[in-house]
Amino acid sequence: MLLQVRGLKKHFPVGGGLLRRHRAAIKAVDGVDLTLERGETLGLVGESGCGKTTIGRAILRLVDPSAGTATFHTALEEGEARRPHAVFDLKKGDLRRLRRQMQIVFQDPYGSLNPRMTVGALLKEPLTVHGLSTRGEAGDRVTELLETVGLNPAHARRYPHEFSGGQRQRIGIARALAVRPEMIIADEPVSALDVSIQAQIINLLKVLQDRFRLSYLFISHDLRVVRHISDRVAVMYLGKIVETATRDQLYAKPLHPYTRALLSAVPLPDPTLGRDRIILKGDVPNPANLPPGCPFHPRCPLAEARCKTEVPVLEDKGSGHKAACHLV
Amino acid sequence: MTNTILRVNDLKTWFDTDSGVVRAVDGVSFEVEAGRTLGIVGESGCGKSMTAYSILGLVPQPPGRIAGGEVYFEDTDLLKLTPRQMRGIRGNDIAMIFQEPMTSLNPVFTVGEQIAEAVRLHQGADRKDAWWRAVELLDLVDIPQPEERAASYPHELSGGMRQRAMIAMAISCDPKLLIADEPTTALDVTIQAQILDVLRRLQEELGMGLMLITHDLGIVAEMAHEVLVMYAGQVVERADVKTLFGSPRHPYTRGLLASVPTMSSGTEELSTIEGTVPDPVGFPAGCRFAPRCDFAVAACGRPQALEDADGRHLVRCGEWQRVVQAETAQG
Repeated sequence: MLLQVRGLKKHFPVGGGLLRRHRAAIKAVDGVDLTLERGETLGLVGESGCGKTTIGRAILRLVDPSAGTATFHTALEEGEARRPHAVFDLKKGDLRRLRRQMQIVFQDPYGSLNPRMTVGALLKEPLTVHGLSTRGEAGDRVTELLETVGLNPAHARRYPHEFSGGQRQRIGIARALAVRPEMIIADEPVSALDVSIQAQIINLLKVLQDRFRLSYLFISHDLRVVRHISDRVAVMYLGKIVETATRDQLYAKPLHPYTRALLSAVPLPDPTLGRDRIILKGDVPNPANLPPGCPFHPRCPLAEARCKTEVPVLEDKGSGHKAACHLV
Repeated sequence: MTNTILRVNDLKTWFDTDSGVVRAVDGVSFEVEAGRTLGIVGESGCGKSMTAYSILGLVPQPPGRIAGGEVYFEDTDLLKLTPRQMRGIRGNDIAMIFQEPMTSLNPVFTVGEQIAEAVRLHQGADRKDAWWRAVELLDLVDIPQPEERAASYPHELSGGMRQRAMIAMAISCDPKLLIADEPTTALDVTIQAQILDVLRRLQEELGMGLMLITHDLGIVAEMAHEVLVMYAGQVVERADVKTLFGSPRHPYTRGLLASVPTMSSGTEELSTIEGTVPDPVGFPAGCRFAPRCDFAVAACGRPQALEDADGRHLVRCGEWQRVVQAETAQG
């Protein structure tokens, strides 16, 4: 086990102001459990606003969680034994040492690279911050990193704007790899890329995973991409995980009506397929004003009376395949 | 008997930039028929959106210019119209919807007012009739409680609702041709399914031609009757949808199809197209895909014509037979 998250909640206050107490909260993440093994990829799928990005940021402590625990099993110092660390309780110094083990790759390679720094400087920065190499060694490490992600070492002298979107994403990945982390949180890493470039980056991520035994928390709205990279998949809806299973279980036999609708909504590049598409009615409800009972019931084609009052829990429906639904 | 409503012939839209001439659209030809959907697919920068802007006279000039070609809408060459005449066609006979509805809606007017305004301008209806027509249109695109929604401002609507409102506005004048440029790219997949469903239904009901521009081969497969694949400003392949997906000929089309992660195949390594799209200022003189193509030979250094090998399957590749054979033999 590398990472274990229990009961994670992140509520953002809305309304109110300087003098008034806040009236409501957006429950962006509302009681999420997840685990990640070493060398494994967990795909976290859901539509905009479901809380998937907030989970990633909370684990990295880029936002402060409202409740819950996250335990990361690693060694903070070279030569130290691997032991569990409570991510949300770590103080500054230890948190920085832990962050060396958990890196992030963002969706937008344009926004996440400082335009005034050369690629070489961008890759050296994390090494300096974590005291990982002397000035002399850093140059070699930059060359090695650029080659690892399929770029030319001569690119170290160039600036981010000189690269295409796919190349920039490779730089983002090299930067995450620089400190030799155990886990990378990849937040929509290929969503901004054209399909032929998308495939290059997905393949690269898989090669790097095998080579460095990386664990990925792969956050995406794209079920096709998630299927290609994940060992296990968790589907989110309105701040909760509604279904989780191995990749093969989930795609072969989705249980939750939301997952089924999501899968059936993906357009497939085969005009001869006649598909029975489940078209959901309506929009995702406002997360500041969640419906009672199952949060999916207003759009659910199967909803019954009790779905409107009883909140379903995420429970094992057989062989470790979990779903939060009264009816499956 | 087919009923061609739009015929684009050898359209060239070029941009004069400091570093040289960018041939964004470079000799594109196609037709759109009434009641049919033409899918135009390609990656960023291939010229698919600029083709649409050229048809509607929306290319910023300068730096852009129409360097050649004809765009016949029924019997009128749109490229010869004055801006004033063009305004009479745009929004009336030809309507367009864009990727980001928020930027096309005015934030200070309600959705109903904006649709009603379009109805008044184009159809000369009075205020009250126009308002009720707007409500009716919102109902037609499956917006629940259309009367209430008509009184909403754009920011009060979700992305999917805004796109529906845009569609309602676009169809308010019964256009013969609807151009949809990445209409669902900004939307979630369940909402995308709803919007595509609305478009498909409206097309059937209204019998309009639909020109659907997208980067998503899945959407093309589900929506289009005919498909145009664009690469670096040119059409590289054109066929009916089943032929194109069933027996693609151009190495680029084949590469594109193979790189899409699917829901059924294995999850081994995805096939990719190596390299990147060439710099638009210095397109190769010959085949523009040759630098990335596994099948390139010396002859690819000469410009390739878009050839009609049999019937209505066009391909811009002199080597396509070898490409198809090689891959069939491979398995």
